[in-house]
Amino acid sequence: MIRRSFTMIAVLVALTTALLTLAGLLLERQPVVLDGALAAWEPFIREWSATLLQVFSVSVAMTIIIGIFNLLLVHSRRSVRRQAGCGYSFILFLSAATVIALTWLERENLLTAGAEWRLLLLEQVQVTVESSLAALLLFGLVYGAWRVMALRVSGWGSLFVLTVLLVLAAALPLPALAPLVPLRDWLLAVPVNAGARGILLGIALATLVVGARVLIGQERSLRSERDD
Amino acid sequence: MTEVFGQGPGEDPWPPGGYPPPAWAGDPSSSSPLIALLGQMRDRPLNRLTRRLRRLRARSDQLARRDPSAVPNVFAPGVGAVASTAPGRRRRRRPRLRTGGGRFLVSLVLVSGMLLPFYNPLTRFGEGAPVEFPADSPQETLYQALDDLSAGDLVLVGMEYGPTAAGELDTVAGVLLRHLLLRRAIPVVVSRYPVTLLRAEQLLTRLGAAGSSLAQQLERGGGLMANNDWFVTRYLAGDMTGLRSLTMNLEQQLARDLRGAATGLTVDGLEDFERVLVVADRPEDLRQWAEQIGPLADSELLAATGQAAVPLARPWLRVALGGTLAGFRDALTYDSLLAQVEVTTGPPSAPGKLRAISRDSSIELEWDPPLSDGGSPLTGYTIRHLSTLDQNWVNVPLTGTGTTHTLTGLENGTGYYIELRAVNADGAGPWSEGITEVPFTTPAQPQSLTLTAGDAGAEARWSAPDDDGGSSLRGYRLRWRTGTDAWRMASLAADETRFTVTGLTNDDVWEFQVLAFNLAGDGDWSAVATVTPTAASGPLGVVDENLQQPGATPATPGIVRATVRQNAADLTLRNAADATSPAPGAVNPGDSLLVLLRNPAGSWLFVQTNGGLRGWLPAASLDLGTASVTDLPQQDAPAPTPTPLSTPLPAPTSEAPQVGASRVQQGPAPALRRGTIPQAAEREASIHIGLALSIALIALGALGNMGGAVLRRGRSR
Repeated sequence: MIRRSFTMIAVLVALTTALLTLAGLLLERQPVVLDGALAAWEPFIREWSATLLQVFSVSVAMTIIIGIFNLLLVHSRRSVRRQAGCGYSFILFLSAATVIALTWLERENLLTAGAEWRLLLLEQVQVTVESSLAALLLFGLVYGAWRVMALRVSGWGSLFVLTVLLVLAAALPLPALAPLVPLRDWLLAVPVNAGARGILLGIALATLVVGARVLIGQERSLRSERDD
Repeated sequence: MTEVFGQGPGEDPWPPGGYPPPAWAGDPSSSSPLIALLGQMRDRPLNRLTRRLRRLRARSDQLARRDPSAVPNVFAPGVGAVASTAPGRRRRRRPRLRTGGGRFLVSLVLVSGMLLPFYNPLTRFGEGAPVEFPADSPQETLYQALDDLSAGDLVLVGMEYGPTAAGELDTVAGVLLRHLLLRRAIPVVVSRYPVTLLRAEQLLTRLGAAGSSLAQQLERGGGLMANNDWFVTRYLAGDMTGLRSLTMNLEQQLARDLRGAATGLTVDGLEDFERVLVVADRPEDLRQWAEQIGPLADSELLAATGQAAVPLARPWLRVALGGTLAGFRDALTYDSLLAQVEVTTGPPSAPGKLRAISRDSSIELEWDPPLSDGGSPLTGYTIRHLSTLDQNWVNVPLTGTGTTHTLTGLENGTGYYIELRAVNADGAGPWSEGITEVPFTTPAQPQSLTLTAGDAGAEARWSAPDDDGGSSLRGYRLRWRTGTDAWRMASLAADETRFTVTGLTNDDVWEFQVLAFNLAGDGDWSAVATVTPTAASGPLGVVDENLQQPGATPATPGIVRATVRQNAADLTLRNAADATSPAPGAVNPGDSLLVLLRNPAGSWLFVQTNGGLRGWLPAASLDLGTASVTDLPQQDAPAPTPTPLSTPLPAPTSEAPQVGASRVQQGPAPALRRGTIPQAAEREASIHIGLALSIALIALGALGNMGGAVLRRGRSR
């Protein structure tokens, strides 16, 4: 009973928040103008809508902080207990601790070195590593395309490979390949664009459906387990 | 020994007549009609499945029969291969050694090829990026949009990419930021990626470092400074909600920089930004900016993205976004255009927020210095003001860089519209946003204080002062005493001009005085009037209906303070007295406004909000209090105030040179691309070789696989 009451309260809070935010959005963009007695509510709705957004943003920021602490906790435990992969955990823990310590020392002006170590680490380690990981994607894609017909030679596979070759070749700045450019442009403008728009439409429809389900309290996360 | 299905002696993978149905399908006690139907059909539905699936099913069932607890891993290597071996044609297949040799080979070829241009110029092939964009292309549109900026213009820059895309998008963002800074515009960087803010700070610090080519071009020996020439604001938490939060709480979101220091930015809304530019690597980010920021910005949204994101972002690039830049090659062309730009000095930007305090016949002014000095030190300011009395502009030149001044010799009760601009050796900059102030002082004495004696009381009546001091009366104070006793006092509202005092002792002489007060404070007490209450006096409280009410009209007709009605039908400020006119903004019910003008019919009023926004509102939307529409000057009189979107007076007589950077017309475009991107030719060639090698490898792989398939088919026949 108590659990059900808590669920009800949670659902009410969620619905009120959602409705206030929606009302604030509608009033902000002015497709809706409150008149008569309702006009007195407009400042209240606008103010609460903005406040709720701020609360959400702060909550998200807090989750990041909590997530960092949780991550450090998990990996420090794993390092201490010498579980599988404890070496990586130790490196991760050490890196995070180093960055936090350096940032604190720099903020307190306790580091006299000219270079900002924190930014140096960002530039030389994080950006380099992440960029390299992103670059690996190229090798993966090329290898994937190379092997795409290894298991089975099919019409669709051949079409895929031909399209990839066409788009890549048209991107090469060689005069001999210039006739391919209009074909590449057509491919991007029509079939690819159609697909992209289809995806966007799908996202928009799904967003609408989820939004409507939230607003009427039918979203799975708002329902109690018993209702499921 | 583990026996594998299909390899055991005499074992048939598919018994004649079909494989027996699973236990659940043949359960006669099953209440489900579907299962009962399946049971009757004796696995006919299964026969329709592909041959491979049937074998897989048989294999699973066989394993389950041997060890009911065992769950077959149908994805384990070898199952499919073994099961696909036809009975009777069993061949011993050698175990395949998976070393990833193909992957290694592909990587080796690509890496070697892409590194070559950095060491051997001969390996650079293909045409370099063009030196100019085609006319009317999205890239050219973006370039022109940024090139039209003036000194001090604010540009909101969303940098929405992580380190994974930094290799490509840092170059793109770099040329765009460089262009903004060359124009002496002020980029204000926001991001929902915490790490990207650090990247942006790095990028801008490096671009504007002391001794850098940009600092030299701008003649800034000490380099460009954070929170002055550019801003990197704090992280926007909340993903898409963070963007919406940015639009709703813009000033708050931009109040602090990345390191928590105050930015000093005074921004009321997105309309304060001349341009909005987003650099993003994910189409989703572009979409969110197009949806959340684009509709609220005054200018078209400009976008830059990576080459890989273009196909998916294309719907937004065409529909919701203005000029666009995509990929490294576009950045090279953009960079070559920037190399043709000549930087000039010019007038400063408009000063910051102007603040005023009204005094007696004077107005104290204070303002923020302009964000940009135009490349030349400020020499002074010019203030101009316009009164509703004579409708003539009065210019007040100031020398020096002080940011305060007091306008004196003004008429109390008269509205003054005040603007300000900064001046340097290149001329005067644009006027700041104007404000309207009314100097005022304390009101004069109330008139005609008359007293009527009563039984143990007295009634005091008076009329409003001749001069309200320039500010509407807020009320009266009445005091009375007998002999040398302490004064007793009553405070009354501005519309109360009589008061009945009780509790007086009969037959004593009581002195009365009254004063009026307004925003400036209390006026002088009136002359003392006396009264002697007696028991024989008549009753008190007779209302004189003809009594003059104070403050019915302002002392000087002109600017009137008004309140937006709670039930106002139209809250949109218009540029003209017309409901279809463009709207520079809106007001809210309950807002207090200054009414500056009316149209001849009196149906529309020209107002100014406390935030300095001006425009026309329907008269029915405003509550003018005790004032009347006819007290306001008409629109057909010489305009006392400019419209919100334009300046009424002609530009300064001295023609100011063009500020910032301008593209030098040098006849035909140079044959060679010039730019500032390091190792541009090598990086471009590396991309070309990477592309060519990818094409070759994919084609080789495809041909090899096809050839292999043909060979296998021939062998199987």
